This record gives sequence, structure tokens and C-alpha cells, in this order.
Amino acid sequence: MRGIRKTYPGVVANDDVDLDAYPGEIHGLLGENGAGKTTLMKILYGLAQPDAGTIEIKSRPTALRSPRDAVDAGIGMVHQHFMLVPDMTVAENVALGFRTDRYPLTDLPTISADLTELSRLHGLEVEPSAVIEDLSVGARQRVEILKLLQRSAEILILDEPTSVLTPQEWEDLADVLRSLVAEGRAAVFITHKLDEVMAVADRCTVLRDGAVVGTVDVEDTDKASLARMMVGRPVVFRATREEVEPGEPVLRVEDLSLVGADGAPVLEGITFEVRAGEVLGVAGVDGNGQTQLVDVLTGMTRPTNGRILIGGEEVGRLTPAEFRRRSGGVVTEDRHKTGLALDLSLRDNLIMRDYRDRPLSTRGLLDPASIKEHCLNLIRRFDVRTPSQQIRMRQLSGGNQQKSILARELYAAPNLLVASQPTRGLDVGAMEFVYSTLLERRLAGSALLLISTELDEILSLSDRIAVMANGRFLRILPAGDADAETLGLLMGGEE
Amino acid sequence: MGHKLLLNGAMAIGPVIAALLVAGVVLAVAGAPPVEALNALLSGSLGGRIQLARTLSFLLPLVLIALAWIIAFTTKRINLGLEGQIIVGGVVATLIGLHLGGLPTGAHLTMGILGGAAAGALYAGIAAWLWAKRDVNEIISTLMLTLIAAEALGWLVRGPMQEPGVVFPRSSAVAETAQWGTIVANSALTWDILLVPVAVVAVAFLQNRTTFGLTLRITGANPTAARRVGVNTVRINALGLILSGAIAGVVGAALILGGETARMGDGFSAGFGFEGIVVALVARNNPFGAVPAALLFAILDSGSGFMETRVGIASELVYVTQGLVILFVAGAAYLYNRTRRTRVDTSGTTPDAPATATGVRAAG
Amino acid sequence: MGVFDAFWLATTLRLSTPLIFASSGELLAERTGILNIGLEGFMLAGAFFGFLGTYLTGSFLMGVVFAVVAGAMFAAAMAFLSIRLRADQIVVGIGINILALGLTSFVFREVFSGPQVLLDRPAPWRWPYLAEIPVVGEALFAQPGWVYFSLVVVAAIWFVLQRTTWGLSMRATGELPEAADTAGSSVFRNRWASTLVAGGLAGAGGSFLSIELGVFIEGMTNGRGYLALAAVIFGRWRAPGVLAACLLFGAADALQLRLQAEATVPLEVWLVLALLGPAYLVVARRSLRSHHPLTLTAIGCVLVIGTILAVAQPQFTLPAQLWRTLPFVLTIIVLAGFIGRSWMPSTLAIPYSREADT
Repeated sequence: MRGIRKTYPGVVANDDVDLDAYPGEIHGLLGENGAGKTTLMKILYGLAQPDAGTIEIKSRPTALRSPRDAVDAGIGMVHQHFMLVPDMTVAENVALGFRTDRYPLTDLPTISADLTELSRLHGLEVEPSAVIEDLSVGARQRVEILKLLQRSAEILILDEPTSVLTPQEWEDLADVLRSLVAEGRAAVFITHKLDEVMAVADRCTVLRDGAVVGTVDVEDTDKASLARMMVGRPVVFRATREEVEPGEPVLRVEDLSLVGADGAPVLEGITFEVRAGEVLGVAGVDGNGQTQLVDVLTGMTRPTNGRILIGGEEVGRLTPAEFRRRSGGVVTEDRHKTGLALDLSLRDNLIMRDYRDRPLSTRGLLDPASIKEHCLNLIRRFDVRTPSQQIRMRQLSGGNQQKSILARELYAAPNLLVASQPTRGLDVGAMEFVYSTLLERRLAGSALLLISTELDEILSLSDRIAVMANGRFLRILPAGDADAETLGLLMGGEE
Repeated sequence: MGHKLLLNGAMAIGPVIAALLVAGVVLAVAGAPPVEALNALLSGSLGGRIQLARTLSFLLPLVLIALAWIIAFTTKRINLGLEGQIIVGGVVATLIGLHLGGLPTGAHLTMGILGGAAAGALYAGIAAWLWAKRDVNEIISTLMLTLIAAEALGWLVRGPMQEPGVVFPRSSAVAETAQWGTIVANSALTWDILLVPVAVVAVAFLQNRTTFGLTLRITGANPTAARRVGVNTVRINALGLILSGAIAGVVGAALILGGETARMGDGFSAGFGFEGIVVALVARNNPFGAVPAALLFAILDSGSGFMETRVGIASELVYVTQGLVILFVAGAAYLYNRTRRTRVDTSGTTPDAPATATGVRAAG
Repeated sequence: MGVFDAFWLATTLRLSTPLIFASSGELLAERTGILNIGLEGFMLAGAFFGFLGTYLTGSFLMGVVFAVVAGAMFAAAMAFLSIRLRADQIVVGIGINILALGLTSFVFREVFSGPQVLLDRPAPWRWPYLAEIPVVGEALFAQPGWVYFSLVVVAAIWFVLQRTTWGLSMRATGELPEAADTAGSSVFRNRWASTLVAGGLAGAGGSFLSIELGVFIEGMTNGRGYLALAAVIFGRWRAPGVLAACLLFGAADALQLRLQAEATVPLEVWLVLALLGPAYLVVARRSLRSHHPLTLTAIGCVLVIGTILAVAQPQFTLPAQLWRTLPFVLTIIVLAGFIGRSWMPSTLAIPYSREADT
């Protein structure tokens, strides 16, 4: 790729980017969130058109106007969010967009046979007639890779493949990648995690603010210099955590369980407590029941079984309103889907939690003056960068959106804060702000339940760490006894 | 903000002008001189006392129905059954007007209006209940209820409610005490037009200055986020539909109690329940914008009859224009969103990376 | 069998036909994620232009061609606005309905300004031998040709969806458009194609109304487009279910036509009600997920109600206008009884954009 430039309204996503990938190499593409990695890969896969620049495949200039062109050119991509239709079978998903001799009829038997052959060849175990919904995340990733192999892709692109994998699954994936590359394919591996680049990549290109900072041989570099390239300044990873003597238990959960709509257990026998001034970290790979745990704890979903005690008192029927009345705050994992109303103004979003109470309203009438005052305060205290309170939420950056949520949920100093993936999709600056805000709450005596897939985050913020897998808490350890390796083993489900 | 106002105005007027131009072309193709037709349209709607009075009398149903649509649409519910809610509102108002004799004027009229509102609310309540409890799509249920109401009206004015001794499908005139006073004699322009500014201000106030209004808006913008902050979204959606129905019921009552003949005929709702939706869409769901939009459609409705006799062009052309306006408005929203998609550049943070439209539904 | 006779059966088939055409096209469109509230408008356009085409050319076949083209043209407007411009599908649908009502009425009054034009009606197809079967032969095998064709269409839609790569790609488009797109099949092309098919088939269904009757009446579809939409929901987005739903609505419509002419509701109708009512309650309760052993209660209900009816033989009927609402009432009742949201295509009515940011 040569001189790729792409702009979106108000943003330059890629600016004069060059990238080379050779057969037999794993090329890391490193950059923090918003650095333009995904845009670049969309261009390479025909999902977005560059404003300038050329793409050469095997030294031939190639126009990639659609994914079809990319597939024909031998490019295959495993997307960050899997591109698998959940209620179709593995074979149907692989058949999608693929022509067999029986075109236009579907030929699932042939495809299933191909799949069985390929999975034997590369050690990627998958059952062609299984429905995607019923598969584990690791299995889905295997399906995605088989899909590329079945289309004889020679350039493999993997976009942030690890956020959904346990460290062990990730090791397996790395092995598969190495063996595929050894057969003469090229792989581009997109990530914002330094460790992963260090572990598998041969060379690495670093992006910052849409431009290439440099391309280096991984052997000749170290984590610290890569980090400096990525962020543009030295990075202090450890958040400073002062000693706090934990107080009374604020949240206590006993034998909590939840059965899903299809009758399968989603949460099983979860018991823990979080005390005032304490951060309980919940480590685990996405999709192991964290979302449902947050929903149950904040009153969005009723548990099938178990007791929830907030502030020492048992809550009979927990609703979102009840959760708030008991001084609970929540930062959800997906701010767009569940945290914010993107089409309303910043002001409406900031008052969303408390507009029904004084002083923001009296007897059902909103009080514009005190609302304005209130929002001004929050914007200042939580450093939300905005030209106006009236701006639509959609127009703010991810970092400012997250700060707005923190402002709304934290200003009233909740005794209990449930924060799920609070830094997902944020750049380093915003991340640091979130960390310091959370730790401030801890110091002020709130109980924090921090749910995250990022082990670094869990390790640097938590006092105690629970590991969650398959809807259960496997073990709760003091932070001092935990390191990435033990957590990783536990996340894989090994006791 | 002046720039924004201008943009909003252009986005509202542009599609209307485009639709009128297309209608002009249709006129020319159909062999009528467009200028003369326009002339006839305007003199038929604004050219005299009676004409003007008729035009203004259309404002009430058009504006109030637009408001009714806006209320339900604030929570993203589609009330396609406003026409049916008008009908049941009118039926109940007629019954009250006919049978509750002996009340003082103000009280009788008020009873009629409230009765209409209650009937409309109850009728919309059926759809609201079906939506909330039985997950029935409100678009289909409200429309089915409209078809049912229209048939039932046809029966009522030929059966139990028919004026004795008359062959026409209509009821007797309601008692004097239940009628609005006329502003212009021998026209449908009555003092009920005062409800228009009252309702517009009330709805705007409700939306922007009350907690209930904000609850409606949050629920419409993101139901999950609304639930997270403790809103009972199902109840709010249902309430939005019911309130919408109540307003439509008031329109039904006004069409009878403030009508030219003060009696109920077959098809008295005259399609206002759909036309008002067009008005709301042209006004981009803004309560204040509904007034000028309604005025435009009132002129079209009121003058089209005269245009038909004068230049011999079928008055249904008005509906063609309305349909085109909706389509152009829908298309114009694309341009509008493009101008608003720009993110603000704030130092210190980079904008959120463009994400794929929908996330994966993870296991479990 | 009283009112449930061969004539009723024949009427059921004929009244179901326009619904089957419209619903099977709409089924395809909804499986790709497009919701056509404007189905009523497509049908009305078909009804008018089918009539016009037949009038102008003197050929029923040309009439249907006119109708299909007209329906597809309206669908093209829908597709352009909702797929290309990503406009709100519901709003566009409402606009299509108003436009179609206005345009057909306008052109009808401009072209046929004189006395009512009555066209000849097409002759039915008599299937050799089969039409001679006693009782049902005439009803089932001597119908207008497109009654049979509608069944072919719904079968074809089923086959395309379930057995072909196009269908696979269309289903993926409705469930997870990104997956279809990245697999190299065009979301836009799928949605355009399915919307045009929906428009064309709805047009064909609409033309059945006018051509079979030999006249065009302004607004003559009278809610049938919405019935067809309901049939797709009630049929749970699967071709066999949709066909069954259309037949049910057709049967109700045929029944109400018969009942208008009866002096009292005959016993057999009460008996059917006594059977279907409790059955409905059982199924509806199940879809509410309350697991009560209702079957026994239901059998009890049937016996009790049946006995009462047999003894009492109530004298009861409704005015014609209220009988006419039967299909609409039935629609509401069946939709209320069978919750099927989980069967709905995931991205129904949600526009797709490659570069969309949520």
C-alpha cells in the first residue's frame, strides 16, 4: 500500500500511509484506538475507498472497489466482530458468497466436505453442521479462518483478534498463523496491544493519528520504544494506587444464577462481596456472562436465583430505579447502545439520571437555569471538551462521550459503582482520565466492581481479582497474588 | 443558531416546492394550464371570506393530528390509526351532543370534547395494550382499528345513530349547547380554532420543559439507556400512544361540534388522520413548524375543489402532491444528516473510530 | 357443512390470492431487511394499472404486465429512498401509500371520466378430470389461472430462499449485512432485487382485485396490503407459514361475505368458534411462557360451549358493515396470540452503510 489517504468529515483517518507485507511474514499493525488502523484495513479489503494512494498485490496495481475484488485478489480478513450469521450453520456461512459447480443452487455437502478436509489439514476443529450461535468464541474464530482458507486467501488480515480470546486460545491462534505463514502466505495482524506484536509479529508498522510513525523489525526493538512510537510520549502504565483500608461490604451477592431464554445457564452460583474503598476486578474473556452479570446487578434483568444485598440490606426486587436509589452508578460496556442517547444533546444526556429530582425539576417541570448550571459544573469537573451543551451526543468523540457518562454516574458520589469495559475504544489520554477518576472514587470510599477483558487494566486497578469463565466466578484472589499468567490460565477455564 | 434555523427552514420548504413543481408538470401533462390552475387554487382557498374561513377551519384537524403524531413519534411509536381515533372521538362527542341535553353551553361542550378525547385515548389504548403486552406491531394494529372504526361508522350513521326520517347516512344535529360558536357565519370556522395555538404551545412545552417530555424523548432516542436510568419504557411508549389518541379524539369531537352542520356523516374524518401525518413530517416533527405546514395543506385542500371545476383537473392531485412531499422529505433527510454528521474537533481526544454498524451478538 | 361449503372454499382461494402474491414478495424483502409499509400502495398501483393495461390492450396478460411494472416502479422509489438514501423505511412507506392512492385516483378520474367502465373478466382454468371431482372439484380446479400461479410463486420464493446461493445471501443480508458484504455479495443489490420483486408481486396481487372484478374502484385495496404485512409476521417469516396465514385471512374474508347473507349465524360457525377459541387461548398462553396445564381446561371449554350452543342455537347476526371487519379483527387477534419477534430478521427496517458509525 502506497501513500494511502482517507478523510472522513472532520477527521483525517489515514494520511500518506505505506505498508508492505511479504509472503512468509507476520506483519503487526500497531496503534492506539482511533489511530486509523481499522480504516486502513477497510481500504485494503475494499470496504472503503481511499482518497489517494495505490495498492499493489504481487507487484500489480489492484483496484479494490468491493470485498469481492479483495477476495478475488487473494485477500482474506477476520474482522474484529465476526462476520458470521448467528442463526446459520458453519457450512452455510462458508457457502455465503462462494460459488460451487451447482451455482445457483447451494451445495452444502461439498462445502462441508471441503471444510472437514481443511480443518484436518490445519488442525482447526469445527463441525460444519453446527449452528454459529451454539459455538464458543474460539470456535467461531476457527470458522472465520477456515472461511479464508477455503477461498485460498494468500494475504490474511486479522483485526484485533484477541479481545475475545483467552491467552491460551490466543497461543493456539498464533501457532496456526505461524504455520499458515510458513506455507507462503502473508499475514497482517492489527492490534493495540504491544505484547501481542512482540510475541508473534516479524515486523511491525506503527500508526499514530492516521500516519505511519515507522516500521521496525520486532527483533530489534522493545516494548518501551514501541509504546513511545505508538503514543508519542513516554507512557507510565502503572496507575498509582494509594493504600486504602476497605470498609463495610457495600455489595454482597450470594449464589446468583441466571438462565437464558433458551434454557441454558448464563450465570451460575456467583458469590462475592465488594467493600467500601475497594476495587474488585472481574477478569474474563468477552461473552462469559459479564454483560448479564452487570444487567442483573443493576436491575435490568431479574436473576433466576440468588440474593443481592446493597449496603447490607437485601434488595427484594432490584430495578434500575431501585439500584439508583441505593446509590448505585453504572458505566456500561457499550456506551452507544446502552449508555447514551446519541441523538439527544449533551445536556439531556448529562441530566438523564437525575432530571426527575430536585433541583433539576420541581413537580414535573424542568428548571432550565439549574440544569444549565448543573451541566456547566459537570463539564468542568469531568473535563468534557465541547463547544456547547446543546451539541448532539453523536458529534462528540469517544473519549468525551465516556467522560459524559462518568460525569453523569459519578458526580453524586455513588457508594457502589459498576464499571464494565470503561476504557474500550479510548485513546491513552482518555484512558488515563478514566483510571484516575475511578481511583478517586475508590479513595473517596466507594465500592467498585470493575469488569474488563484487559488484564493490564484489571491488574493495575484492582484490590482483589475474580476470574470469570462460562458464567461462573472461578476464584477470587488478592491482587498481590495474581499475575497475567495465572489469570490467563484461569480464564481458559483451568482451575 | 441562525444558520441552523435557515437550514431547517430550507429542509422543510425544499421538498414542498419540489413536490409542487412535480404537481405542476402533472397538471401540464394532463392538459391544464398550471398558472391558471394555481390561480384557481388560491382564489378557491383565500379569495373571499367564505373561502378563507374554510381554509382556516382545516387548520385545527391538520395541526392537532400532526401534534398527535409527534407525541407518539417522540417515543418512536408509529400511530397510523389517527383516522380511526378521530372517528371514535367524533362518535362519542356526537352521542354526548345528542343525548346530554339540558346542560349549560360551556359544560356541554366541554363534556363533548373530553368525551371525544377519552374515546380516542381508549381506542389508541387498545393498540398500546397490544403493543405492550402482546408485542403486536402498532403500525398494523392501529391501521386495522381504523378500518374497523370506518366500517362501524358506516353502520352507525345508517343504523342506530341515523337521523330519523332521512335517507342520508348522517346523524341528527347535536344540541346547540354542545356546539362551538361560529366566527364566520355559514362556515366551519368556529372558535375551536383557538385550540390550535393552545395545543401547539402545550405540546412544545410538554416536550421541552417537563420531565415527562424528557422521559418521552429519552425513551425514543435509546430505550435501553432509558431503562438503565430507571424509566419504565413500556409504560412510556404506551402512554405516548394513548396521549396521541386523546388528541386525535379531540379532533374528532371538533369536527362534529365545530363542524358546519354539527352532525356526523359517513366519512366525516375526511382523511385528516393521514394528512396530519404529512404535516408533521414536513414540519420535521416540530410542533411550531406544524402550523405553517398545515396552512399550506389547508390551502391545497380548500382550493382544490374550485380548481377542479375551473380548469377541470381532478382534485386528487392534492394527494399526489402530499405523497410526493413525504417522499421528498424522507429523501431530504439524507442531505440534512450529511451536513450534521461532522464531528466536533476537540483537542486532546481523537474522534471515535468509525465502527461497524452492528456488533456481533456474542455467545450466551 | 352449511356455510363452509364448496362455494366458500372457492371464495377463500380467490380472496387469498392477492394476499399470497403480496405476502410472498414481502417475505423476500423482509428477509433482506426491507419493510414495505407501502405494500398497500404497490397493490393499489397494481390494481389500477392492471385495469388500465387490460382496458388499453384488451389483454389480461398485458394488464398483469402493466400491474407488475407499476408495482415495481413504486418499489424502485422505495428502494432508492430507503437503500440508497437510507431514509426511514416506515416514513417512505406511508408516503408511497398516500402517493399511490392519490395517483391512481387522479389518473382514474382523468382517464375514465365518463360512466363506469366494466371490463370482461378472464375465464377460469378448468383442469381436465380434476374439475369433475364431486363437491370440491369445481371449487379447487376451475379457478382463474393466477390462483394457481400464486401458489407457484410462493413455492418459488421458498425454493429461492432455502435452496439457492441467492437466497442464502439474501437471508444473510437481513440477519447480518456486514457478513454478506464482506463475503462478497452485495447488500445493496440484494435489497434492491428483493424490494423490486416485492413491488412487482404486490402489483400482480393488486391487479387480481380489479381484473377479476372487471372494475376499478378508488382505494379498492382497502387495507389488504396491511393484511399481507400481517400475514408475513403471523407466518413467522417462513414461506409455508405465510401461505397458511394468507389462506386463513382469505377464509375469514370469504366467511364474512357468506355471513352477510345469512339471517342468523349458523350453528357450524359457533362450533368452529368453540373449537378454535380454546385452542387459540392455549397457544397464546404458551407464547406468553406461562406453563399451565391448559389442555384439559381447553377440552372442557369446547365441550361446555359446544353443548350450550347445540341446545340454545342463538339467533344472532351483525350488520354487513361489521361483518366486513372480520378479517381485520382476526388479524389483530392472531397477532396478539402468537408472539414471534424472535423469528424476525435482525436488521428489518435498519439501513446499511459500510462506513456507518453507530
